[in-house]
Amino acid sequence: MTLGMINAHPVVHAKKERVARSEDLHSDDALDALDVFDILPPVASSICFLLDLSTELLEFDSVRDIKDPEHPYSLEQLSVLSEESIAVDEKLGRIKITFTPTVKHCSMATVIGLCLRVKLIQSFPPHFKVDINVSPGSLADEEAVNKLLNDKERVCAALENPSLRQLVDECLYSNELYSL
Amino acid sequence: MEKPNSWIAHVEAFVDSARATNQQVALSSLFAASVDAIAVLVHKDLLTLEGLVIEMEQYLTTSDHVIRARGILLLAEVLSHLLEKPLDSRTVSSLVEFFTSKLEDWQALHGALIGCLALLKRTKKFGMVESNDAKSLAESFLRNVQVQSLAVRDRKLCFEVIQRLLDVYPQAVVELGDDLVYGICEAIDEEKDPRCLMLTFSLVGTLGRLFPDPSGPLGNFSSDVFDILSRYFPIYFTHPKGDGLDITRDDLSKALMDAFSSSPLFEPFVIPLLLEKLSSSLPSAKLDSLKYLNSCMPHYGADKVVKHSQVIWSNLKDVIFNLSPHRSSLSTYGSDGDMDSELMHVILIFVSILSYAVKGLQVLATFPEIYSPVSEATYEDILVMLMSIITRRNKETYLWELSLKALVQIGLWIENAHDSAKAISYNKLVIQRIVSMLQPNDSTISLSLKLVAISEISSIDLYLLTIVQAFEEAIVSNLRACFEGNLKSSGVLVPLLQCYSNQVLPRCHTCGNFNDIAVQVAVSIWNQIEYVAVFRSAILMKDVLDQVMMTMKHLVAGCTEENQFLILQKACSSLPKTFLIAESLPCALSQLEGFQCIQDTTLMSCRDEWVFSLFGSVVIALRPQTPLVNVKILLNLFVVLLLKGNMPAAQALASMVNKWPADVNKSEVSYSLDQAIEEILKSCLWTSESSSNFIDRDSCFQKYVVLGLAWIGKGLLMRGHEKLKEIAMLLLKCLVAGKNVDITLFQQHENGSKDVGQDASSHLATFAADAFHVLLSDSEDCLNKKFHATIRPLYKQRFFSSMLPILLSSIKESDPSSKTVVLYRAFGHVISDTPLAAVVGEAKKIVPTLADALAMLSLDILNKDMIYSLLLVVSGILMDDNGKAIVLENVHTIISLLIKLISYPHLMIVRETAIQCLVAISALPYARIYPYRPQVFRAVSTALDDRKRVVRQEAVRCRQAWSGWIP
Repeated sequence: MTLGMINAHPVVHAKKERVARSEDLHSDDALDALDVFDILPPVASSICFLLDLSTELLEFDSVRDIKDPEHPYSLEQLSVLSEESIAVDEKLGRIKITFTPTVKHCSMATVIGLCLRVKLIQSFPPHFKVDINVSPGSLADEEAVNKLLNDKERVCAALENPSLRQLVDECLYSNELYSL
Repeated sequence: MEKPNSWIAHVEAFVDSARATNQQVALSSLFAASVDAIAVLVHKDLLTLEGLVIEMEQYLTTSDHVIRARGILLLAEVLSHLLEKPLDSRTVSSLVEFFTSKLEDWQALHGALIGCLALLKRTKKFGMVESNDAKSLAESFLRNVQVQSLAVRDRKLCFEVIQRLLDVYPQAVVELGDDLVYGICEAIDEEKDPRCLMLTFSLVGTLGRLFPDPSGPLGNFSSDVFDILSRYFPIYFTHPKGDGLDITRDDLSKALMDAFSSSPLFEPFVIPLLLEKLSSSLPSAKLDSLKYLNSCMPHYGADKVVKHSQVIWSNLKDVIFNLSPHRSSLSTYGSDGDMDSELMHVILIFVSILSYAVKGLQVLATFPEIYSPVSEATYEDILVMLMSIITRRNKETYLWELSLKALVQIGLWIENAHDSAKAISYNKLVIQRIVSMLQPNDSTISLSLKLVAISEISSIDLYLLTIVQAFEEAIVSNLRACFEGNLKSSGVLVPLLQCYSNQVLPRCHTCGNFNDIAVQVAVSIWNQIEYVAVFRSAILMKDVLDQVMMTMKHLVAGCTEENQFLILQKACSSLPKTFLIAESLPCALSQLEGFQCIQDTTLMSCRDEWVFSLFGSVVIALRPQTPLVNVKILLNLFVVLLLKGNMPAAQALASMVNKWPADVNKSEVSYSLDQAIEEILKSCLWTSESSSNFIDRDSCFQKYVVLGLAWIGKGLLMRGHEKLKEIAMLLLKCLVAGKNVDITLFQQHENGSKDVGQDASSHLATFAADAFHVLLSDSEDCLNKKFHATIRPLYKQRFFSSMLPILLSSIKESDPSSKTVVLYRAFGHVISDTPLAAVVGEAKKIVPTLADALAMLSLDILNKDMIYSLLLVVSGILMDDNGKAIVLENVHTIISLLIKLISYPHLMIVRETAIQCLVAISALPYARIYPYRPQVFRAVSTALDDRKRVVRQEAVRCRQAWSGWIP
């Protein structure tokens, strides 16, 4: 039995124009927020399942079987992530991400955060420190989630949990955008 | 002083007869006479104004309003006769005070208004009204006078008073602020008399100038003011002509237009109104709207109009497309051209604000003649306008390009429509102007823009010839200047020639008379060279020479055989006579020996270099059927030049060999290709019997010989001649020789003997390796389809399959301790220049050596380009199904090689491609590649920190691909 989605009718926002980078062939390219943002969409489209499909579906262990997301929007369109919510300081080696769950009681916030963290660890040089937070006021148990997401040991522990690890991997690799 | 009685009679006559005026208008001349008489008395100082006022006191203050009005009127009339009578400020002041107070007296208002006006009209010279008096007058006026309820005569006076106040005492009345504007609004509301309207319109105009501040009084009332004015637009005026008013519709329209455009504050209201009326079906309304737009847009300023641009433009478009060629309906509203000239001007103004109106001009200009809505003059205006954009507004790229496009379209249209009248004006205004830009003293716009403009315009066949001629003149004069040492000309000449040979010449093919043009230009270039015996500048001007050569090749290549022969003859006659002594090759060779010894000291002069290079270019571009004269001498000449290091000569030789007639008997050429090649080889390597001798030669000479051989080999290879083998073997010999000598010299070096030879021999090997690149790569300069080369299909593949085993075996044979870099280099050239399909077919043999080659070559920064092309071969093999299997066999070597290349520091694109190859490898069977996962992850994570964004992104992709989660 399929129950309704947590957020059956999400507010869809327009995609923003990207800031154009100056193209200089001979200089070094500094890491910027857009870099981070560009890395995330593949993750993002997977997370969309989690966001928009209810936990009941997860309990039925049928996420894998869902080929059509009911809301084929990217995280940007759902305004979960935006370019402004990403701050990169290359000199200090820090990446700070603030995301906004679509509903106040989103039970998936921790999984989204975890996915983002794993993706960033894999996609950026190891000397970057990654901070992930939900945006203030967007979640009921905001503080607890923030604490959880930025606690190294708990992240490690979570990733050692096979079912959680599977969920994250699924998120990161299940619908690859390229096929070679 | 005059006795009172004498003038009091006049006063009484004026005042008393007031009762009679109602019945007897004829008396008015009498009153005028009384006023005149009194005025004359005052003027002659026979009577003072004080005296007059005192005597008249009873008339001025009496409670009988008829007499009072007459009295005041008399005084006012007298004053208006005394505008040039000096009065002291006290008198003026008291008079103003008097009349100001009389404004309250509605029965005597007429006189009071005349008096006020008379006083306000006084100039400084004769004593004028003080500013504060004027202010109190204005206040009293606004408070007491109900303009709307007055008769026409008095309304007119009122407006004149206000106008005068605004004009002369702006400071004083501006202080009244809102009251003033509101009062004026009230006064002008519902006005209908044309004479008064003229005044009210101008009043509003003055207001607009007095109160520019959007938050000021006019800002507050602008919508009210506009509300009042908008009712008059478009002016509907039916007064018959003979009514004596002397005001026409045009006057009113003009006045209203001035009012509309007086202040940008009206913009939010005016533009929508005008646009609404623009779509009206009434032609006069349309015309007026256009006129008003015309006048308003410049006054409001670009930033205000831009807001409306879209709407304005769409309305204008409607007007343009609905323009009627039959203008009978318009004829009552002025001359035929009115509408379109107004339209033109609107668009012109619009163009200055917005670029897309250019399109409108184009539309107007391309109407067929009989339907054309625009007159001849307007048409020319359009062209002039567009041209002025081309010449002056080159900073605004978009506008500029649009205008150019519009001009081209107009030209193309003329061509299609065969419209001779328009063609004449187009030629005069556009073509001549554009062509004149090529003249050296023209500095309107930058050269590159000029060339863009000209090459675009040259797409109109009708004018191609004119443009081509202009080009020819410019080329010749610049060339001459170059020879005379003018470096600035060389900067002009290069882009000029580029444009000429790439853009303009190809168009001549379609237009039909290419041959004549080409022969003429080629001959005049040769003439210039003949004309200048010695170049004044010692610099070679390599870039100019290259470009002239390329142009020459294009010129020759496009001609028919006969015309090519003409050019060739001209070129031959320009060669220095000493080089054309009819001698057989062996004789020349003996000269060569001598020549070799002195080659370092006697370099060719600048001019010789030019002459021979150009001559080579002519030969390169000849068609195979074009007859050559003195073939032997030509061969001889080119060989000599080749040995001197003249590249075009080598290429010309290659072209000759390539196009050599197959059937000797049928042609005039006396001997066969085989003979010729043998001769060439002999003369190039006359020392080759003892190859050590050749190796001992200095490296520069070796370079020329090897390069020349490579070109000749290419010529042979392309036609599939078996003599190629000989050359290929020679090159291989050089490769191997270089390697062998390497070892011997290495030993010699240990013994402390000469190391000059070592350099030379390793250089020789490198030249030989690079010769393979010449053999297999496509060249822009010669031996291609454009220059009529004989090309056998699949010649590269053939060469590849015959050379590959030899190369592979010599690599295998070569001593592993020795440097086989040159062999790998040759191998690399062969692999990367051959079409990928052929290479992939041989993947099994190639892959191991390819990996070795990459590893070996990556040690030297000079090989970075080759590394890239070899990597492309690798990725090509990875894309192929068979290739994948072969890669899988060597997966260990390949992966470790790619991992090394991920951190290749010299070329970003190598790093990127290496990562892409790794991504491709991740698709190979999982079990085989799984062991390499940790290795790849480590390598990729260092790439995550790459300097370049592209590489970082590829690294992320690669990581993603390799960590592919398999369900």
